[in-house]
Amino acid sequence: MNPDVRPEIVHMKKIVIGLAILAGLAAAPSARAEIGTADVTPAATLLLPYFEVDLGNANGITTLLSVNNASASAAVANVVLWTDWGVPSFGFNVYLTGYDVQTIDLRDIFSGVLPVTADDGADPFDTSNPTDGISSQGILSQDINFPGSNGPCGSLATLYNAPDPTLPIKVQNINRVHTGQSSPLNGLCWGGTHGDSIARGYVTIDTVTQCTLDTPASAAYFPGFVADTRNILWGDYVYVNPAQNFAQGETLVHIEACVPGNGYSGYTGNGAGHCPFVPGDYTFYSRYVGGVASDQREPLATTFAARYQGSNKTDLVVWRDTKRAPISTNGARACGTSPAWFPLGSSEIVAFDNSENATEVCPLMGNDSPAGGPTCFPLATQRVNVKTGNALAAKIKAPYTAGWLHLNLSHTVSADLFPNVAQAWVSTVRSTDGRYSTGGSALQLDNALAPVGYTVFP
Amino acid sequence: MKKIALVLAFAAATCAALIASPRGARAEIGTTDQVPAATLLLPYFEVKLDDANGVNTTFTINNASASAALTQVTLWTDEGIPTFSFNVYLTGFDVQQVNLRSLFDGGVVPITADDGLDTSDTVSPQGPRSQDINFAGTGGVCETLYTSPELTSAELKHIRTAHTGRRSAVLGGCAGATYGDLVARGYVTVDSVTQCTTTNPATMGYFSGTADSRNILWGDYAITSPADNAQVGSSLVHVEACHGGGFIGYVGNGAGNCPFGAGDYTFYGRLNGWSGADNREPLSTVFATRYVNGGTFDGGTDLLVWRDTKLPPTGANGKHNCSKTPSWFPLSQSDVVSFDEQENPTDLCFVVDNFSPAIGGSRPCFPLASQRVATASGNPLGYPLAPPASFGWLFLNLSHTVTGDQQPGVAQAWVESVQNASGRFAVGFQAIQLDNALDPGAVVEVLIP
Repeated sequence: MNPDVRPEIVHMKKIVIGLAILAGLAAAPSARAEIGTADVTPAATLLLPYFEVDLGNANGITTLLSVNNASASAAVANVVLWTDWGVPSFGFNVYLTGYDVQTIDLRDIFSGVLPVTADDGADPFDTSNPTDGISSQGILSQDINFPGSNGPCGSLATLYNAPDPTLPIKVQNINRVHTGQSSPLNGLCWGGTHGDSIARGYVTIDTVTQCTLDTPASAAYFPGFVADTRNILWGDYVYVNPAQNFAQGETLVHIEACVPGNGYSGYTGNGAGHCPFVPGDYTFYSRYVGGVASDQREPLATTFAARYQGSNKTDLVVWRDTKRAPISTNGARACGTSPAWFPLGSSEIVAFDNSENATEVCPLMGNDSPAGGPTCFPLATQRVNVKTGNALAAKIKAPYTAGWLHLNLSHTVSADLFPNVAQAWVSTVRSTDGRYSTGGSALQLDNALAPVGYTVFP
Repeated sequence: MKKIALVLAFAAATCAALIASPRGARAEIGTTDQVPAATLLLPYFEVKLDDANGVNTTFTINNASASAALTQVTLWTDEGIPTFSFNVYLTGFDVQQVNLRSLFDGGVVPITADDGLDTSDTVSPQGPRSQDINFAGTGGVCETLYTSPELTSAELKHIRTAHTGRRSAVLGGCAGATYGDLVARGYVTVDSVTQCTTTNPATMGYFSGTADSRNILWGDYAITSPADNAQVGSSLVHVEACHGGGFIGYVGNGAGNCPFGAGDYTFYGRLNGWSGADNREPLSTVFATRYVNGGTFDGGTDLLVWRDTKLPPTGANGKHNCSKTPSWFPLSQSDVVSFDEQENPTDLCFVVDNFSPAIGGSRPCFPLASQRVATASGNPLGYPLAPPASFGWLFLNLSHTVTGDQQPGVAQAWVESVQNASGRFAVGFQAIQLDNALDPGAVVEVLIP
């Protein structure tokens, strides 16, 4: 391309973005309140609470997800991979024209193949023909420029199908740190070691105002308005294990945002009584913003109910808030050691059978993190079989073959801004007869904005 | 004695719920979230009656509270006509699974019993943390144990015919759509109630004395198709209720919404003249969901769609001559648009208006109260959906208007998608809710007029 063209495009982009964001905000009048409960409505942040990719078996388990734009306005999504210690390992941007959809196979990401999208300025061959260009624009869809000089906001030279000499080491890094091995970047470990070839972690996807290399853990990400608050993203995910002919799917966790100082704008809700969040409110990204609520994102629940069945046939997929920024002793550590918060404690785990007999399970030494010994859900994200547990966790040891679990996952870290409260997310994966498998979210029994604090065994 | 015990017990139960459950906290009335609720909706079921190894549907009813609960389980045909109800008693923290094949094949319902009927605690055991009390009423579980089978041969024949579009002798007519197969179809509601009863939500007075508004129920369901090696599961739809003058539940305070009043759109509004008496939140009217008709999911994507007929199942909308259909059939819709992965939109199920029954140029793709619709080919009783691309997503505005409508241009619904990998596996998702029937203007209603 003609390099002389780019400065003009970039200049124009700065103007256009302001109009674009306004257009997005105008899209949805407020309606009914739903801030403070995790419902499946368009949101500013999507959470894939747990992923697995078997790096040692191309036909083994992988995780697919989709990122969708519910609005006619264009969007940029910042996709960040986190290890099961809650350490950000890699990020990339996805540009979405209005009503766009982008599917991502995480196996591709671990192979260094990123989804190739391009905003209007970086997509010079996109014409009114809906089939040309990179991020084609439908007739109802906005296609604009976003600020930023990297990824889909830069130029043809920055798109993710262009040669990138820095990519191989980044890919090598995520392949190692998500399997508990030392990082080639700093020699430290960034995640738990399970002793197998499965990459584990979780993913956040934020709507942002510009292409960025930042993550939600970056200092300027929320105060600098890199993240935006338009509730326009939606998506789902699927664990697929072709070798076993198993798949389980669920919607991503949809986390809605208030508009700072201006209430709420979204497809569903008005945030009455909650928006905007103020310092001292528990928000989804509290741990990165020092509890000042600048992320303006609703938190999740702390207490859940989930059914289990048939001895070892139910897995729990559990995402937890470490309540610590991933720096210093709470981030990457020398291999053989663990973050300061490890293992995460919990407030109460109770197993019921189908006759309502109740048994308190999981070693409980108070809800402090780190706990005084092994816990059932020690990591920021994990899959835990109800019978056999997890390589890094204590076994749940439910004394029954079927029933349900009451999971109060609140915990307390030292100098905690929100003592005895901790958001989490729980999904179940149930298999039957070696043939079927289904996934589903657990029942939410509260919200971290107003935690239950309820215990079955006082 | 039971009546006295019930009053005391229920008061105790209610107080216990108020005490033991979390304080009203954050608002969530007006959005469908997965939290304990007063009503559960299984939006669609299938049971293949001529093949014991064919498709089947199971669901669970769980009690989130330490207080005992009584539920009213009601089967509805895919024309929204109730056919059969039974009670399930739950001690505190209880869980009960319902296998619809057991009901349709053998007339078997779950056998549970309240405290007075189960003095030895052998039928509905009471855990150490669970309340076990008496409930009023003369039906099963409160005074007389259900037998196994519970249904007489005539009753069994009734539900088998009514849910397969054939004439029911009990009803004296047809009550469901005819597909020409022996798959029983319909949907199920589960309400928290105060007494054993043979009534259902369509019965006069149900919401003024029978249904209760404690948000304590939760559950999930699975549709299993052994022939396809496939099982899809999801949460039941959790429909929360306002309680008295406000809201009491595990999550929320219903700020600005509770109690519902006359003229509000409520979940059971069609059955109580839109009086708001059921005090239950409505569902959404507009949805977004992905579809995949190829690749790994070579079996394509089906939509499971529940819709509000907006009319009570009586008169021209109740049981009918088998050569006819309810007056609202086929249900219309406001706008259905498919987007491919390049965001090219295509208007599907073209409509000239949203009136039900669909008239003029309307092409109803979702004609029934409950149905499975293949995105590639449609439902046999509806117009083919048939998006031109194999991959993309659907915008579904399912609002419609019936004659004499008190909620014109608004209609709640529920949508789930099932992606199938032929013969290997399947996955199910809830569609994304883009609004709520309490406030349907929160989203662009029609993308392609």
